[in-house]
Amino acid sequence: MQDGRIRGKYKGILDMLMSNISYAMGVIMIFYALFSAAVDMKSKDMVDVVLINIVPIVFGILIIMDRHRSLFFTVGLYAVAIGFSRFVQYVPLVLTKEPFSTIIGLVLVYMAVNLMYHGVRFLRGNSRAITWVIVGTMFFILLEVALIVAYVVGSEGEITLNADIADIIVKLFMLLTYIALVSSAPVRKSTNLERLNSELIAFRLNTGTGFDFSLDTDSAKALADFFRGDVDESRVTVRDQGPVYRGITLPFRDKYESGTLFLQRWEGPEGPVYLSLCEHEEGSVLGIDTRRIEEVTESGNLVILRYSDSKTGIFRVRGLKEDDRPLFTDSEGAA
Amino acid sequence: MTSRFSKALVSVVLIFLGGYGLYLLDGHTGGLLSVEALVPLAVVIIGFVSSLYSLRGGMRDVLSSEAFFLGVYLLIRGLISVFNMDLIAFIDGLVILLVGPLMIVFASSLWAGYDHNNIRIRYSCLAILALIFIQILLGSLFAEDFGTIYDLMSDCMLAVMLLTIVVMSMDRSISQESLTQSIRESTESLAVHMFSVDDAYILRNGSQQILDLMDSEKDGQVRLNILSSQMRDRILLLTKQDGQVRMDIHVTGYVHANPLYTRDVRQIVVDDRYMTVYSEDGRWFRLLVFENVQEDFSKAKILGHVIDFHSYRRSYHQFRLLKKNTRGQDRTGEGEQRSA
Repeated sequence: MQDGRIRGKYKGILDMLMSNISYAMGVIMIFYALFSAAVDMKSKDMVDVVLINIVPIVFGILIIMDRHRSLFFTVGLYAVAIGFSRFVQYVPLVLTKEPFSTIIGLVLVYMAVNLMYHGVRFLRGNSRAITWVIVGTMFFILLEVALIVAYVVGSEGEITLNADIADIIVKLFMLLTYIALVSSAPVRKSTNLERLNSELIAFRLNTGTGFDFSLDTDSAKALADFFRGDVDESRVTVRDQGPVYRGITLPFRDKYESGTLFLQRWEGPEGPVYLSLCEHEEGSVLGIDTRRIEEVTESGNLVILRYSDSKTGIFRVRGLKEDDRPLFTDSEGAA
Repeated sequence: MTSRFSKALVSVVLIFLGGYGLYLLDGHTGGLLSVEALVPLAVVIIGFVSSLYSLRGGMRDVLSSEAFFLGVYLLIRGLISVFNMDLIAFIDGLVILLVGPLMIVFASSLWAGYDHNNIRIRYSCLAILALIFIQILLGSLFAEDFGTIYDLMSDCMLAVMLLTIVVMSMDRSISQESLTQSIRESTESLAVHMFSVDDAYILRNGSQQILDLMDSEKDGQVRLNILSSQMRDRILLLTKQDGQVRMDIHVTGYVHANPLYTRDVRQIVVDDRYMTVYSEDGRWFRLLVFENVQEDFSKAKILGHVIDFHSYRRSYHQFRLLKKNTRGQDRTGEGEQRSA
């Protein structure tokens, strides 16, 4: 069944939602703060009402005004605004003369400060471990859920949607959206550990020092054919450009990650063949190492390359079952 | 007042003043000549003399001396507090009794040459500072007889002594980098090689200047910014001398021992999308070519201004260096191109 179009459209909708989620966040922040201010005005001091709600309103406007729809900016401002509101709300709890309230207040204030700290980190484009961000947010979510449960239990069957419940529901929605935002790829990939990981992946693929480098059957055959001078023209990506006579790219992978193998023949059809490995195929290519291939031999399921500096490179030829391809084709191939 | 000697001297004096203040405050209730007041004072005075003597050495000697005698002081104070009938003072004493000996061990190890104990001394001090903060907070809220100026002053004096040690331990000459800092530095060092960067680009008019220099009979130089949202900007320097063309890529803003790349250029090909530079022995690299500066969508843009919080992350020295190295250059890439 050809479901490529449906998949593509669905992915497009998801992308559109993700790219516009910051609008929704900004709007919700503003409306929530205005609504909250209107409710609080009856029971709290004017100064407290302004302190709690002014930051979300200002930051919400800034989020809407951001033309780049930067997720870091949205998440950062959101966390700082919510953290600040919580901080102002919970500090009076610490200063009550009741031990239980003070201890709970201290924990809540700490969580609020932690949320602000996360926000500042996000604004700088540097996330912390997402798991802990989610765990921290879940704490607030559980708190809100506990309030709803307490209300339902206390209402003795007569549940009415009042301002307090609406407030809790909107808060829950905002916290859940926050979790969705911090789980997005750009934010998730910006922790120190993720950055180190991406650099190390690129390093091991570019230098060929990873474990279990492998080519699929077609690529292994194409590599051997290219070296012999039997070039499949449909694979050629560089043709008579500069010193390059022909160049092809082949996918390879190590144990977990995939990269691109650049194979180039220089100085005409009889010229030397050079091999470069890179983590990506498109875009700029920098820092790659190039080796001249002297000999290609196939031994069992291995392709062995002897380089001009007397070193040897070995690629394993992957079986069909190792790649995620249509299961029916796989079983046919195996048969 | 910014030399290391001045800083060490100030820390020694502060430790002494803090200890003497505590003697006066502790003596307020028990009498100035009581054992509870005199023994800690004796420790502080010996520590003061020892720290003064250690000024002839380095910061490590001064810090280890101060931390050692502060550890002894805390041990004695903890022993006194443990026998107190007050619950808060008892808990306080237990913690101090635990941390005091630890500081003695860390300080003596630091003095013997185990530099990493510097961080442990710092965290020991911070732990007691946190304890003091909580003690003051809980005491001020719940203890009915709490709140006399002497109780508060006593804790503040101890906090001054501990903060002195914390500040000393952060001096650049003896500070140790944390695991996170070390990993971050190494990551940046690895990232300098640009293995994973796939959006590095130059502007079309820059590539045209490079081609003009390649075609020209004259010697000359072209200097361009390589722009990218994934890495800090690099400087590309193409030099033509006696018919030989060399290309260097440098890092801006940071000091490195070597330029990133130095390549003898054999041929440069510019097409619609890429500028590919070929050297000898099959070596090549390529950059994207764009007509205009590409917007970085990871940064916010409000009313036409890009808000870049990344720059605030850089340390003061690095920021100064960056400004010095890029002075007079235009980030848009239009002002930095020149050919001789």
